[in-house]
Amino acid sequence: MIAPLKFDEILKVLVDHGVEFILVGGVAAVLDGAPLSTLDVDVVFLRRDENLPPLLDALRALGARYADPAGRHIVPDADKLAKLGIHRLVTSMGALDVMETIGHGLSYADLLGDTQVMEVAGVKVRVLGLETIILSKEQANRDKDRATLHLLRRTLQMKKGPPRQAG
Amino acid sequence: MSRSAESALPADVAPLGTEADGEPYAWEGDDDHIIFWMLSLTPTERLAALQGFVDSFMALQNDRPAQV
Repeated sequence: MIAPLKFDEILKVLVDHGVEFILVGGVAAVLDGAPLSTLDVDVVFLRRDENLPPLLDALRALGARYADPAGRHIVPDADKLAKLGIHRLVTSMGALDVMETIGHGLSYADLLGDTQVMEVAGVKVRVLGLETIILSKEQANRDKDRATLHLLRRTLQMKKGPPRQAG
Repeated sequence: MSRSAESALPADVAPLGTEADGEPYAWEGDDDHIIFWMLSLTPTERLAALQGFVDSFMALQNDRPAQV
């Protein structure tokens, strides 16, 4: 049995706990109009001391544990949040990746300029824009990133420009 | 997609307000139809569309274990 994945519930818990984060990755691309599918939620968190307690509380509320290939039950704690830059988690609401940076070291501060706050399913979420999503995927350059680039670029093109008149 | 639908595109597909001053593009086919549809939705509707796809995928996975 595969665990349920509830995008809106994960976002709601993060927002309700006052976590400073930017929604990135596939869900951000979808919210910005790209017709992609994804099976996790990716966020970049603000790496500041005051943001770690609400993040830890939110992860506890979600029942988060690390996605450990060996099957060990390892849960996030303050020390891990302070020291590690990537947290690949399994929660009661689905997979959640909590990252300090994406691409070639793009942090919360680096990304902030290409974000917009969207009201989604009753909560206000800061979402990364398509241009920087594309940049981060170009930089990451994994197979799964390259596979989505055409649709991302095409969506951005259609958002920006009117269709050329035939003839 | 009809010509009239293409003509209506700029006003209809930019609900999130990026500038409509980019390079013109030519209609390319199937991908454009689904992008056009996604851009016509609100963010909440887009998330619901994704959730619906994932729910269907999960249901299939849980009902039909992978054959080895």
